[in-house]
Amino acid sequence: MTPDQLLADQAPTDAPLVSVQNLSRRFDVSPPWITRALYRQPRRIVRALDDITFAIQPKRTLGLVGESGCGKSTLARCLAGLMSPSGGVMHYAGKPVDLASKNDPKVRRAVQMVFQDPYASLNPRWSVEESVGDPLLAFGLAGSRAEMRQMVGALMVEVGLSPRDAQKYPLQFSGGQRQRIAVARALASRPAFLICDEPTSALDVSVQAAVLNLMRRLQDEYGLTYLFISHNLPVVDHMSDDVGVMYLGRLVELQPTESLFDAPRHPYTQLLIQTVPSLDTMGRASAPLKGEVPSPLNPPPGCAFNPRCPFANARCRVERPEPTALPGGGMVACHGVQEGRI
Amino acid sequence: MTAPLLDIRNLSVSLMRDVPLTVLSDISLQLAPGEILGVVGESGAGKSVTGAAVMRLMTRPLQQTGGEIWFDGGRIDTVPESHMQKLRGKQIAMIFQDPLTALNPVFTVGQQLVQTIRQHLPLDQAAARARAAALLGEVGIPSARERLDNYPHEFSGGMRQRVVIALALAGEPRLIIADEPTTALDVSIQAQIIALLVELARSRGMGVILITHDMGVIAEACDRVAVLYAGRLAELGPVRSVLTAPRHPYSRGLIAAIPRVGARLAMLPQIPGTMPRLDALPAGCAFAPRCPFVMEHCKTHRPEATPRADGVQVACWLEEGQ
Ligand SMILES: Nc1ncnc2c1ncn2[C@@H]1O[C@H](COP(=O)(O)OP(=O)(O)OP(=O)(O)O)[C@@H](O)[C@H]1O
Ligand SMILES: Nc1ncnc2c1ncn2[C@@H]1O[C@H](COP(=O)(O)OP(=O)(O)O)[C@@H](O)[C@H]1O
Ligand code: SF4
Ligand code: SF4
Ligand SMILES: [Mg+2]
Ligand SMILES: [Mg+2]
Repeated sequence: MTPDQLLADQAPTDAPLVSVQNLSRRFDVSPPWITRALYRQPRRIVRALDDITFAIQPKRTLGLVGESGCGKSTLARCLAGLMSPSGGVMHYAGKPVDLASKNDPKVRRAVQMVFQDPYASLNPRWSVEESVGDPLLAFGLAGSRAEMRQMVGALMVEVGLSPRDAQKYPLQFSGGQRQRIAVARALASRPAFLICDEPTSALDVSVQAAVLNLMRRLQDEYGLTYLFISHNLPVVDHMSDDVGVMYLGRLVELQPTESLFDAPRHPYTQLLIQTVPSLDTMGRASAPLKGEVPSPLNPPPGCAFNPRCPFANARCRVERPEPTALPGGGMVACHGVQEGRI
Repeated sequence: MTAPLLDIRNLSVSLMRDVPLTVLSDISLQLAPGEILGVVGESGAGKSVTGAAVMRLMTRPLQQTGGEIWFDGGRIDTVPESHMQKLRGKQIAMIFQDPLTALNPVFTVGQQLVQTIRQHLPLDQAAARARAAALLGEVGIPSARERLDNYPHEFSGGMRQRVVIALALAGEPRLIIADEPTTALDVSIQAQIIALLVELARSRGMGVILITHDMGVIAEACDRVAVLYAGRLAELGPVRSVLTAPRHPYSRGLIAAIPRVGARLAMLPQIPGTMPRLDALPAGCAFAPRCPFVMEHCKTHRPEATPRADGVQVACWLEEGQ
């Protein structure tokens, strides 16, 4: 590739492939009404997603990190149409998507998901051919069973398995192989946008390297756009062009990968990056993020991070920080940064 | 060395089929009180079976075919099941890889914790419930008291795993076998859980076997680390030595494959090929078909995990050459 092409490839085109505005999702986790009536307990609502806004340019990867329970999988499920959001809109290729019904078959075909658990994401009673071939038949991409079989064989080769493996069942494969099959199934409908929710978290490092390399190669070959969710920061750094950080249902920072890791702005991002376990932090397990993880049932008023934030002031405890654009691109939602204190 | 808390001597486990298949072959490990031993290796290498063998939780076709397991000075692989049941949960606890299998979906988290606590400790309902809330708090679940009344599916994946860890701690065990306990967790909670395990190990003299494929976790938490490959011990030594100067070609490949922040590689270094199936193990060194340093001798002779001059055990013929 010439440097010119390289630049052309990397320059963000103006129109995002996927964008999301003010996406929200609430869960009602109230006790049964009888208990509430007897013990005078209020309704309890978890705000799993709270006003999430971002955009992803075509052929790029947005990484998403954040604490357990902060809403990453909920976001993934909403975007994949597996769950309807309580509010907000998604645009795909410039057109609004009805996330609640998601009845546009074009979008259903173009947006696919790979799950964390390769054991759960495939039907154990279906042969690999049935699993991978199902979307081919469902979307009418294969005219006949014979054609389907041939396309499945090609997909198997694509993910580094043998066409003969298509006759086997998921239980006959290792975790890494199953994740390859899950990737093959997701690719079957020739999607443009792949949502990957912790795709390698259940895999060991050597198999993880193979699956990540596979995803990279497929992205280059087919111009795929990825939303890549992982709690493993080095993996997110390796895979992503931009990284978003979530905290308690809110997107608190989003920056190009290098800036985020070199110069994190939000205090939560700073702490996250300091606590990455790595080979260089040998025997230093003593510096976890201090403070109690706030309850999503009962988030603190103002900035949800304020009870754990070393820079919190009076304003932080009452006023919710809104996203503000950063000079180098990206955004951060923090009073301290906005006020120039951080 | 103080008397080991756990002493696994030449353990072998087979899959009893028409032709028995060796799953673990001649594994020896010691664990001192308060020590944290990491166990790494790719999926199917035998990490979970090692844990299950110690717990005597191996299911039917799997069977111990050789070796001995000693806990606190007594042999436990031969004691009656009734005795083992008393040890399990109370003295030796296990945290499983999959939090969903360890939790019952039809009971609240509080009911499950209270039941486990009362099995092991002489507490009444109210005291057990208070203890349950304290344990949930200890593993970092916010609003612990209210969360006791939630069902497992109302927690995120990471929170469920913290509940599972709380369950394992309920009987105040002396040995914890944690099988991929933080695999589903994000870094900050992972750091908390690991710090919690380290603290329990140091303060209570609790021994911990930490099975994980996350080398970062190994680096931070463990004193020593064992690398398993195809049911055999490839390398065993102090964490610093194994992670910064791995000697076995397989350990070297594993450590090279770890993504590092700022490395900006297009592709990650990969170990070529895959681990052989147990029914197709090569005659000599199990790693030979993938090893960049393979010699003729390796293909026919199996290397032993012999302690080398510096005490590190390495099962590789390259070591003999020096
Ligand atoms: N079906 C549900 N019913 C009630 N609450 C739910 C449900 N699914 C998720 N939640 C709650 O929504 C919040 C976000 O959950 P989600 O699974 O999106 O977290 P996550 O960021 O993916 O976490 P992890 O890293 O642990 O996978 C959590 O507080 C969780 O308890
Ligand atoms: N219950 C079982 N029945 C049959 N084979 C098993 C069983 N449990 C484990 N194995 C086999 O034993 C080997 C080691 O498995 P395991 O200890 O689970 O590996 P890991 O290192 O991934 O934890 C694998 O080949 C696996 O397929
Ligand atoms: S808004 Fe305030 S409390 Fe929140 S992260 Fe910024 S400085 Fe800290
Ligand atoms: S014994 Fe030979 S084949 Fe095995 S790891 Fe050492 S050099 Fe490689
Ligand atoms: Mg999740
Ligand atoms: Mg295992």
